[in-house]
Amino acid sequence: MTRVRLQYFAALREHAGRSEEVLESSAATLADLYEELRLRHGFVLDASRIRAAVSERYVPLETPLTENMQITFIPPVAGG
Amino acid sequence: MFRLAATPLDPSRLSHELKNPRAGALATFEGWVRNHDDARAVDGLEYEAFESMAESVGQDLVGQAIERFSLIDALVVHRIGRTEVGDLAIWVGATAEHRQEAFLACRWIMDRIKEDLPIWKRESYTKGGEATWVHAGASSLSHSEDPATNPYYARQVTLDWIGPAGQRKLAQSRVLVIGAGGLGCPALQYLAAAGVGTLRICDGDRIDETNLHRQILFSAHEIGQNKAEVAAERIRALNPHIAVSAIADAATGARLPELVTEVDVVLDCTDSFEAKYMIHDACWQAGTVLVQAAVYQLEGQIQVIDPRAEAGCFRCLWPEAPPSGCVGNCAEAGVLGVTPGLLGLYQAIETLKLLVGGENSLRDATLLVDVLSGRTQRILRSAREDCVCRGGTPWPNTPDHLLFPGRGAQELLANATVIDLREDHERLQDPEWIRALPHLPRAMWPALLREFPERPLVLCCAAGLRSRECVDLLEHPPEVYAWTRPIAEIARYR
Repeated sequence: MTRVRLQYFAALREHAGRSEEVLESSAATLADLYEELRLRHGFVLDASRIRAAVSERYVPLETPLTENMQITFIPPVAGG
Repeated sequence: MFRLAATPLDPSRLSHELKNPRAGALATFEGWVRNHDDARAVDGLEYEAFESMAESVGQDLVGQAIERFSLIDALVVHRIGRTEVGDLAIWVGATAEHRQEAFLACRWIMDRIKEDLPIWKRESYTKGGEATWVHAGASSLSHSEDPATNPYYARQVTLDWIGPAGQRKLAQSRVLVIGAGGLGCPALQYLAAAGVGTLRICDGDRIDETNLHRQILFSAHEIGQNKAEVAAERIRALNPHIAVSAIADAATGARLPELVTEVDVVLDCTDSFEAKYMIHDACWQAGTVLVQAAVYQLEGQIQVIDPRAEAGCFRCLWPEAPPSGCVGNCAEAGVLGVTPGLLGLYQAIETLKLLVGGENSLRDATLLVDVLSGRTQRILRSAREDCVCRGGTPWPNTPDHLLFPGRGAQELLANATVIDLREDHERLQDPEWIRALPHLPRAMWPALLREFPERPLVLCCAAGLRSRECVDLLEHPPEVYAWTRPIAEIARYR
């Protein structure tokens, strides 16, 4: 199990009902982790429609999970 | 109607020309020659017009006003030649069924005339001094001052970061703000107040009651009016030293490639994915820097997309728009007015940084802003090597509907030979002008370059697929373009 610190942005925060959480996951990659979270929180967008940032940089969703990783999940936003 | 007059104007006779039993209101405006400009005494003015052009521009404006405000009629007479202090320089009259339209139209006509009409005035001063020609639309404030010494900007010119040179750069800059909504309103206010010399505002929507909590340039009594026009009026009042114009259309139309080419920076203040992708693609292809922001409830994001930076384009990050309905806009998801307000201010400061020069922290990053927690996060972006901006596949959303970037459709089609690639049986129902186009069915395509030596060529078909296919077949010869929309749609460029 890998312990990660998560932040949600915009619609993901709304659906998760929180802006951050710390959890342990057996997911291998960010995409697997997001899929787990999508089922748990009822996110509408699938993994191909969102972006992830780790250590203040956008990273591919294929990035493997590492211990104490700080991850932000970001959906597209268009309001104005 | 519009006309120029070389002799003094008589308002009562002009009013009489507008008499109409259907009219319930006549609003008139008189522009007089005054005896001073700034502190200098003036004893008269001479007006000179580029007459044929002034008449056609004037006629066009009057026609637009009649349509826009549902007027019964309107009349504008502008003096040319020598005038004395106290003379009428211009008379505007608008008749309508009710007073409101007449008042609004009168003012609209006058504002537009000052800006658009090719008429120049030369003041002669009582105490001598050289008389100079100035555009009649230049207010006495705007033609006399160096922005670096203008008291309006005194408090910011003293900043090292701006200084006299920076203030002059701002005065020479041109910025297009697309969307005069929750983001656009505050961005416009601060760009105008900072002295950006030319501001163009593009919005086809009308002010709605549900907009007012975040679109802070507008008042409750302006519901129903066009956003770009009302915003332009407010911004002109805020800073009379700059040129402000309104484009009362959705920016995503055929004019977009031209609009983004004519400015230094574009601000995307729209609220739909469709508009965001079209604006982005047009800016990238024109090489124009884009300052893009979007909000969701109490959060927002902003980034600068600069074709000259290394960080790639918007599509590097988000290759295509999400399916509609998946991500709510302000109407669907709700929004606190302050959120777009704050992000619009970020757009203003990023734009000023770009214009004044030097560092810009968002050319290679996205800033995420969370109003509730007060937290911001700067996330570095980088180009994606298989992105459309790195070459290869054509842009999915080429806004001028031409497969090849870098040319405006208007300019190209004015000089191009247009060739219809459809089969004979597809042309039977065509209007005369399409049937008159040279025509080359599929079997003849390999002979295209030999049959039509003239350049440029624009290839058209029923939907745009065959024109792409033909250009591919011929291996992309220079000056041969594929029109990627239905052939009938070139009508608006011809």
